[in-house]
Amino acid sequence: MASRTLLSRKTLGTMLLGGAAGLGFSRGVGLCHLRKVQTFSLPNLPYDYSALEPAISGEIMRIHHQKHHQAYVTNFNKALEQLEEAMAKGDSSTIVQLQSTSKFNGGGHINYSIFWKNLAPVKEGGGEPPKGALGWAIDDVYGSPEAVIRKMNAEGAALQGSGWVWLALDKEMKKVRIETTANQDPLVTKGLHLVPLLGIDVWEHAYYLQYKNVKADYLKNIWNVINWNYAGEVYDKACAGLEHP
Amino acid sequence: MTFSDGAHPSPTAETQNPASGEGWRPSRDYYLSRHGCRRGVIPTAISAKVPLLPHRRTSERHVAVALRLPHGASVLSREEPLPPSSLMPQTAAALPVPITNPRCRRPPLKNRHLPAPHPVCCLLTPLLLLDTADLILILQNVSPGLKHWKMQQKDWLHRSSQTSRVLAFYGLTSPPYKLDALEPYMSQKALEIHWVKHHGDYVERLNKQLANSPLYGLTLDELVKVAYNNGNPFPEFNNAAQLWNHNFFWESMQPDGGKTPTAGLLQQIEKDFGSFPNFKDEFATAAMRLFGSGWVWLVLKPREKRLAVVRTSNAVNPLALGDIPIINLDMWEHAYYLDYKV
Repeated sequence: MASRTLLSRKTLGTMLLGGAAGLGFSRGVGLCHLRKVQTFSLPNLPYDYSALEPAISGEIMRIHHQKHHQAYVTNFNKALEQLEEAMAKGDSSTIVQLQSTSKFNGGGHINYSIFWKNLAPVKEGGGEPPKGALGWAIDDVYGSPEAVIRKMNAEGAALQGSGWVWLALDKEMKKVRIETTANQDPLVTKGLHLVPLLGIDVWEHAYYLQYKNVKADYLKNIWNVINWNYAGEVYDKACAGLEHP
Repeated sequence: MTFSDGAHPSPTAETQNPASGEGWRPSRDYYLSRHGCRRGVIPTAISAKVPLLPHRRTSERHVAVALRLPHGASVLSREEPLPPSSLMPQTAAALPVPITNPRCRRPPLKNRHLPAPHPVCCLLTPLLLLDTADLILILQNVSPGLKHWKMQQKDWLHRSSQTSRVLAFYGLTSPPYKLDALEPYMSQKALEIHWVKHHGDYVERLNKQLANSPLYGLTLDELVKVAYNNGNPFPEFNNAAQLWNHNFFWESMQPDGGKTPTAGLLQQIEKDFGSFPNFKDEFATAAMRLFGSGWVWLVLKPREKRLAVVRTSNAVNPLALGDIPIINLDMWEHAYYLDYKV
């Protein structure tokens, strides 16, 4: 957050010395440039809940979107409010303590927002193989999209506990790469130079109602509804950004 | 309160002295010393004289004896009844015993090697690269004495490879109640999938890993502690710890349970948490605050001599951290998702 970088130790010290009581909002006026906390909201799905069947059932999509993603958004907003208050008070220990909640809930919101766009019904292009620059980049590193699918499925199956499998663009190396993250950690926790192109949720709630414990079947079938076109667009935009910084 | 790892009876003087009579229980060393090369499988907590598999020549492959016992089956001998205070459920996981006897003159299969060749034989090195059968064919025409020696070698190799290695593995412990006994809190379907698929998967994967692992031969408790490796776990840790955790989980629940604890445990809970309802709140809050997959435990911290509620991620087990688990709760989504959805 930009406001944090503006807070030097000196200004924080003067705020504390000034006393918490009575200063309230006026503190924000001169020194800190604190801005109103932005709240996040649940994005809508670009398709019906049942549009991804039989790969992912409508029941799973509905619960995943309305319950899980909504919970992350709500808790993320709450964490941000608490962070705002803690920053205003200069309560550094609470600020640090809220980091893990922010990472978890904020990460969940980021990951799901990408995930819904990564999926598409079959009649809208879901499952079609990658084309263009992304296709060449994949062939360059992995040989074929099938190899990418195999590798991502293997990584997803091997992941213990909860997490995500990603196909990412490594901006430094200018190559695509497969990564995994634990829990709801967003991909940037593995490196700021990584751009998520495709993400697959391998938390148990993502497949349990339909596939029970057979994660391998879920990972096999989800590729029928993966939206490579969106991944290609993200790839093109990221590459354009690299060439013209 | 008595605390033990519950997995293996600790050796006592009585255990090791065969002549002590009543209450004597044979130890692993006793079996190996008496039966030499024979194969034996010694169950863990519950006892005694299990009939040993007879020594027999089998074909040249390893024979894995997986003790997959059916519902309610046990490995008790007829001579000793089930001790009432046993912590282990009816089916005991077998203690895998590596079968090596120093008195066997044949070297163990994997350490088998041929003697180093005499320097003169280096000239014959290309010949040594040939298959034994080819070599014999060549030597048949070279020297009858050499041929006889080679035939002896071949026979020795053939007989060595016929000695099978029997491995014993961990079995799938069944919950000590019927699968529908925990309704309506946990449905029969959820419990069945949890036990058969998840718990069963961990057993199979662990057994596969242990077949070629230096960690073979430990009790489950020892395996969990050793494989944890102070936070840098070996590949076997995940499966071993999840196996242990699930064994404990079935024991932590019971039909018509949920009542207040009694005696020493209640006193300690009241001392450390204030009251039993307080403890329940703290336990539930800890469970709700767990990020991702993991377990919630009531543990006894032996150094601090107090009870505590701890959360662990994925497969981590407080046994590996030096605490003594009292009850646990599976907070992986597969434990509750079918019944409770979110």
